Amino acid sequence: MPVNIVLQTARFGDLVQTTRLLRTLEGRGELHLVVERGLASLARLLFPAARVHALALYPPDEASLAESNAAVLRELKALSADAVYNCNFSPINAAVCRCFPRETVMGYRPAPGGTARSPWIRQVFRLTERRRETSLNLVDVWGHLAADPAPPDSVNPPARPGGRGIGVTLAGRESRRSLPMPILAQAVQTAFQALGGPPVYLLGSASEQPAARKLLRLLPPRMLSQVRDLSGKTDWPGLTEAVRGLDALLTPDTGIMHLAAHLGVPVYAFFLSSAWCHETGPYGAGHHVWQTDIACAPCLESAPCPREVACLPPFAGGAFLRSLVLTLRGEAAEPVLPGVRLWRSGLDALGTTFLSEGDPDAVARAALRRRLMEKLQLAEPRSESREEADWCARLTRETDWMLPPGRYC
Amino acid sequence: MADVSLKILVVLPMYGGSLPIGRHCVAALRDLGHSVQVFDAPRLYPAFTGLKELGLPPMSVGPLENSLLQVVGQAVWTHVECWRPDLVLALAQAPLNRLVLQRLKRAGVRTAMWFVEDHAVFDYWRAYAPLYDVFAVIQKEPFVSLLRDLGQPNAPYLPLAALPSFHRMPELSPEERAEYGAEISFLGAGYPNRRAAFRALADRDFKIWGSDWDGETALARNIQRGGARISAEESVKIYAAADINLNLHSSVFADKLVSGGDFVNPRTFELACMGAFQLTDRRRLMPELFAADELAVFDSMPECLSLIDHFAAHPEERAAFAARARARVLRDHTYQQRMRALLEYTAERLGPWPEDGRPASALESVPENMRASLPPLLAELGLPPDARFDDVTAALRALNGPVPEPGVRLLLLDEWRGLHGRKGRGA
Repeated sequence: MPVNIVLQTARFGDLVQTTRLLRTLEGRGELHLVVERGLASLARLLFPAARVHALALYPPDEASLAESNAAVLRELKALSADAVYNCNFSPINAAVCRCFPRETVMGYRPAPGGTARSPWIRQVFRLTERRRETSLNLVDVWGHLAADPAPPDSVNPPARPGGRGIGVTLAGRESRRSLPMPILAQAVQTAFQALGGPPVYLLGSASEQPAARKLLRLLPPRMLSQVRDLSGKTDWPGLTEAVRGLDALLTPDTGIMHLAAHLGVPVYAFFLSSAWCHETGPYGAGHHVWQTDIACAPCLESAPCPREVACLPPFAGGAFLRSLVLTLRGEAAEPVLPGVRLWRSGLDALGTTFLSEGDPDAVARAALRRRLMEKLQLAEPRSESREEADWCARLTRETDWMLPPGRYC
Repeated sequence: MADVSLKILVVLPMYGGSLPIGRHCVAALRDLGHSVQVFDAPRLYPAFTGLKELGLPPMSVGPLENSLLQVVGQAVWTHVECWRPDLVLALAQAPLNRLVLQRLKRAGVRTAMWFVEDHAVFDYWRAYAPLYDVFAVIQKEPFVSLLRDLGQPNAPYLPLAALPSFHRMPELSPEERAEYGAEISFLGAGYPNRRAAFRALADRDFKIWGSDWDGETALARNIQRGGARISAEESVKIYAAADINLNLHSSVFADKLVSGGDFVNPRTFELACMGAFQLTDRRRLMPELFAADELAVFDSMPECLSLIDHFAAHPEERAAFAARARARVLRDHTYQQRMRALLEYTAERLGPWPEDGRPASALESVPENMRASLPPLLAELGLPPDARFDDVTAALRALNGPVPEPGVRLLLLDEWRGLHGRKGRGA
């Protein structure tokens, strides 16, 4: 029986976004998943078909690093893996991948002096050079590390209200990507009214507890009996149960958002700053994202904002709240708001895509997806308009075909 | 100086006689405890030979070769950017172009060239010597003055040498003795003076090894393997199997068979280091390198022929010369000594090396609970017990196959340190 290993040592959200790759490999032999130790219990919960190996990547000192990981590394070496899917362009992963014969490592492969990327990963990196016009979900990036990945509609359940009320994610890892509490309070109150006053669950880690208290102070007193603050009070199973069956999750781009999509909870997300729904939007059909639509978006997470987070004020306006109400009620909402555009997720042969009526880059996005489908043999070649061909040509390099196309470099 | 361990990038030439010298420098620098990486330019040489085989008009090949050399230069620069060495050491003919040398200077990376060539034969030093911080040479005056006038004041005299761990007597099998054995042997390229000089030995038990002997019909019987190139590894077997190793320094002029030039060639040191007997032509810089009773020397070809007869009949004299020469090389003429001298000179002229306290050895720089697993790992990698942490991780990353588990832990530690901006405890 083939032995497949998936190496995903990044954060909560990244682990959940590895679902398509793991679904693909579930039926193809023995499946092992290597994660950071703090995420091991979540990994076991979400991916019961995989045997989870926990690496200690944040030990207090070097001795602990050596001691904690020796057994795991020995286990991994002993597996004699047929394929190792390395999801992260990370030096830590590169070190772990040295356990295995180089040619068995897919995605990011150790090479003398560094890490070499597969043709697919190189293509993905190239797309990120033109983020505004591209459309490729990270779940699909990792999913297509394996040949013939699981169909997109088998990855997550369809988004469907579960009757348990509203979840609210208090903040993401990057504060610039989250709504400030006064704006979030307006959105929560609006959603509460739109859905007829259901229970509301505040979700987050212990570090979000001050934000939760602030939000509670900002909500009208009549709502509070329906609001339950779960921030810092859930372990991974508890969080999963808290999210399961919700009618809606209001959230920035977070791990909890991906968990909700994983569980089929309809996501209503606010993407601003560096968050870009075409890359990391909730996976599956039926989710909604209000995405910042100003010239500088999406920006770089690591770069300071020279415009005082100009993408934030549009979320404070009445237009956004009206759009939220209509969308939550399943009514037609105007896609274009001042500084914001509403996107709805759908599926095609490549994976999850976000669509919005009047998208000025629709031609480029569609051409790109079509071209990727052809490259992955998910679609037959077809004629392209000059505009489509010109756009796709920017994503092609002579080295792609003049040199052996399957090479890692 | 001895306690400072430096990061040194050695840029090898793509071909030629300075290539094995470069490899010996690498070994010597590692022996001295430095962290050494190699820009292995010979790997790129097939691109140039391939270009010539395309049947393109020669006029168009030149610009293409130039373009390829630019790529090679960029690759050197990339290596420097990624590894940040304290010193870039180039051997003669190394593909370090003007642009890269200027970049290195701007980046504050020290550069040294060991120009192990005759300045009268290879004259590119006029264009490149001033671009290096240090330009070490195997000749003295007038070369050093010429360099100074050109704007290169840092031109230490650094004669050639031998590597005792490499240049030692090998065990030869009977088959090897049969193949390499001869009363007289010569290994080297077919320069005009050698061609003319050796014709007098054509009827003797005389084997000629090495390349560039094309068209030498008078010595056709003596030339081995049709003049194929001989590797450094094979050269020691040839030296070991001969009674008399003839060592005639090269000259492009055939009218003076024994040229009486200045510098002493690498073969002199290598044969001496091995304890192999050699008969060599006198050089002007020889007396300060070897005493009269350490090398058997001739000044003319008639004298050479006479000495051949003498030493062929007196094996005990051959052995005595060889033993004294070997002792001298081990004492004064190893690549380790040359590299130490070069680094000391560089520090003297350019200022001290950065003493940022890189850990003395991998063993000292890893946590206690990893130490027991290191010695077998180092042995498996062919590294000395006191190998530096950087050298061990570089060796692990260069492995083609899977890395042993203790090695993976070491790499994990290295990356973890990188992410957390930490250094080993030996730091």
